[in-house]
Amino acid sequence: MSIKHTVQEWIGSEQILLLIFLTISTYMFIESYTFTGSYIFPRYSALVMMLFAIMMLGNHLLPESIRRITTSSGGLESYATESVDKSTEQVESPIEDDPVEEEQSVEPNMKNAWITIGLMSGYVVFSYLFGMMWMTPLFVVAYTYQFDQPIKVIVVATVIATMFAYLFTTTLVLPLDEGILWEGPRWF
Amino acid sequence: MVLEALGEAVALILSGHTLYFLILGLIIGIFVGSLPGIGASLGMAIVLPLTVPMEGVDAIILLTGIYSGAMYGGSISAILFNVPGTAGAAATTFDGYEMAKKGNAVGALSTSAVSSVFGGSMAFLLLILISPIIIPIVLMFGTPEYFLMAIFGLATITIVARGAMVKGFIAGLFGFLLSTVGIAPLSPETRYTFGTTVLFDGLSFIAGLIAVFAVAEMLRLTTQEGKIKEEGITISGNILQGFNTVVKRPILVAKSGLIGMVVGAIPGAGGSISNFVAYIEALRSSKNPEAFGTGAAEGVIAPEASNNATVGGALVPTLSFGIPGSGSTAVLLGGLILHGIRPGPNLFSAELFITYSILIALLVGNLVILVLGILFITRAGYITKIDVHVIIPIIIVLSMLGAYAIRSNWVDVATVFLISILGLYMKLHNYSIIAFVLGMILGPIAEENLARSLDISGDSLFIFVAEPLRILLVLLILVTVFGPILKPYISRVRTRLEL
Repeated sequence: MSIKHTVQEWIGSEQILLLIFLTISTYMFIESYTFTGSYIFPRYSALVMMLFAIMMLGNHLLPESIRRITTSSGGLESYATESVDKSTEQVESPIEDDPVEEEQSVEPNMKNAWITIGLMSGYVVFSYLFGMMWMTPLFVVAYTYQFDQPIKVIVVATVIATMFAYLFTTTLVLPLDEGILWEGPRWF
Repeated sequence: MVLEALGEAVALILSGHTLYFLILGLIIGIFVGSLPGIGASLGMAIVLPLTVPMEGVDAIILLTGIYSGAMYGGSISAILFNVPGTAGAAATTFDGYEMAKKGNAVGALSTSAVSSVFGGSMAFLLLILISPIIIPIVLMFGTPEYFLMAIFGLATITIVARGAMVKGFIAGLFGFLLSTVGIAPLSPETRYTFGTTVLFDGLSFIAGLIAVFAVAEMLRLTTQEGKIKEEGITISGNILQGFNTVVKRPILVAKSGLIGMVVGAIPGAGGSISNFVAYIEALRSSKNPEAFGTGAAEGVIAPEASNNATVGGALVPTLSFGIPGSGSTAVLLGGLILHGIRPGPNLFSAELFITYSILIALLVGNLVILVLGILFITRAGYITKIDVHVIIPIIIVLSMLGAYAIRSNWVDVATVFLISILGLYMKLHNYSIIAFVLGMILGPIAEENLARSLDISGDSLFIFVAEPLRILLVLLILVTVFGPILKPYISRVRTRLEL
């Protein structure tokens, strides 16, 4: 097995998530030493979070007894699900699937999620530059077009979203028609 | 005091505009609840920033209306598509969908509406009746007790966390650490602001709620293409049948409602648990258990009567101690704090009318659900057929607009964007979102009450064990945190002793 394959196997999206948590908590822990007064909560919370993140990252290296603690569940939902399974087994009724939220697979279509994140990042950045009022219809058109919606649906969704942006701008008196690069046409 | 507050609350609810907000909330709730994957917390999170210019009581009634409406709305897609709109309607699919497949979708939907109304009304009435008992208990709590209750709320992460507990703690601590950004409570010191003034007010917890409940949920939906919109069922059957079926089973309705109320009052439980517990109990006590799972009306009555009653139960820890037991009550708590209504003794003394207004609004709201539910029945199928790719961009737009509306601060928009991406991966890897929200909301409350308590005691930690009630709370925290860890060891010792 190549080193590349081993690394790919170990570094999944959960490990990246844990590394982000570890980085944030480490930064917050170190930074807490610059506080003169209110440091207790952030410092110790960051410390515990760091330890837990390290524990989860090195879970496969831990002895069995400690690993059990990191993976044990105290959730009430598991109790409810188990109970209903047992009860339904007793009467042998034709209940098929457990409709409680299924354990999320880590293999869902992440491509769609990242396309949406990409479009969303464009929406946020360009809204900051030119105004959310103007970027809202563009975002909805881009999203619905990307996901193969019929023209009629694209138009309806765009009109609805634009209407919401307009209502926010006028009723809550928000400067959504201007960005840092453009002050807007001052129609509102 | 109680009667005066009750009178004030009734007058407020019947004053016209409050009733309008209640009906609006219920309509939004039924709509979002009926859309699989959307649900109460998302609907409430999106509406929350819009309530900023509203009166506090009106805002809370609007939010509770959404919560209550969504509990009923969740049954629509559960019955018609075998996909629960909310986790609280999961058990409804067992028999509701079977009834619909047999050509009695309208009967199942009306049974669900009537059971929701009866179960919910019973719980709200009961709460109003027992409130004089709750009031003195809540009034016994002072600053040290509130600190311990906030820690207890954080400790319930062990209960709320689905999957590994450590993951739940990481999520909770992450939420808490984010809440420490900005000016520290009771001191002028700034923390984690990178020297920029835009972070002085900290990260908005409402932005956090919008990020995890709305945007992250939409991102998750994009990963499940084709799973939401499914072929439905022809809507046929008799509306009156539902009413007759429920009226003939008052004990089942009462029992399920009571289960919903009690389970709802347990922090970390909520509708997703109560509907299963009520279903199991209905099945256990039934004279005809074989019928369950094949379209038995009791299999719809029990979960539906319980999930609406859960709303009432969940309000007890939320309003009295500021501990949200579920995503929806977390958003509701966010709404209370946003409008300067602090959960705790005040809501049971000077502001008792607010507590009663919420309960009476929900009671009146239940009658509205009956009317709306029946009106909705024949049109219910259309809502659930809306394509997910039409809903997603609109929800994202509303979320971003709402984030900016909180404080007209782009930091909130950036917060929503970044936390939603982390929230997506937290959901995918079972890092409890509710634990994250609990950390973000309860962290500052705990920190503030700790600082106050230490001020009172001259920095002595013994203040937290100085009275029997505080010792009891400390024990409760220890049992909650270490109970699930020690449980397997205790069972092993017990098994060895038995052998």
